[in-house]
Amino acid sequence: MKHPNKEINKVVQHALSNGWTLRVANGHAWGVLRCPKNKADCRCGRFCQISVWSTPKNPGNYAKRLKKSIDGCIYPIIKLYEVKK
Amino acid sequence: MNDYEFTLTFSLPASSLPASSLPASGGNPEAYLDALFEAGCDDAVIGIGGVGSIALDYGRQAESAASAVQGAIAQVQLAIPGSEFLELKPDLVGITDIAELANCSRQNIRKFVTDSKALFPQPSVSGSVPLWHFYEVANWLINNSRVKSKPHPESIEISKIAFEINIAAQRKRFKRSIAEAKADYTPK
Repeated sequence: MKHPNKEINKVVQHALSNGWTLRVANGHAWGVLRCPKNKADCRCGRFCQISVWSTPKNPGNYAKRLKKSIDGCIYPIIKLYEVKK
Repeated sequence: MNDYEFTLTFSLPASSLPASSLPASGGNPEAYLDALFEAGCDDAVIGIGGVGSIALDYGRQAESAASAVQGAIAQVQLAIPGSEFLELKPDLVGITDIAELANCSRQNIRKFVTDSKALFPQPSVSGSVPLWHFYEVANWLINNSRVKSKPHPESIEISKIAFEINIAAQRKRFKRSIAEAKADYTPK
């Protein structure tokens, strides 16, 4: 699945390539991303599932926030991936 | 206009519980996504992985931290009637968070914490993971000439408001805990 906005799509693909799963939603949320770790001790588990808006007012800023939420996972899966790259 | 980055958490209304209950688990956060978007929270990433609570990670443009935070809280309360404010972040932070907010390494911060001559602020919560109010740490970082990288003024402004409103929320919670305690625990 491709997000209609290029910048947001890049972050979604980044999440998917790190094992996150995507469930397409309907309404203002384009989809919901789920962290493969899903651990309650990472930010109380609240950011293990995050919404992806379809049309945020400022897609560039929103894409940055989204990436921060994904990379903020305390488990090292994503960080290891970045080191290897 | 400045860019403010902050996270808000709210408990969701649990219809099965009496209105006076402590923030409790209940309610599916995903049900509120459309309402949040329509209220103007499209500049936040919504964390819906928690049961009975919701977290919003904002990147909001506003004239001041106060207007950014107040506006965001009002929007959430409009979108989710009966939701209760739990926390604004960054406030209580550990060494990793401090390093991130101050744009320097963990080792760097650890050095200041353990150096008795540095007069680093005392943690507000001690234990295996000590926690500081970021507002206090930020003031120390700004005023210390040995510190080269400084936190953004926007994050200090947010942490000042967070310090204040989180304490107010805790006090409210304390009063409710007393009111709901089944007995006083004074030994007879």
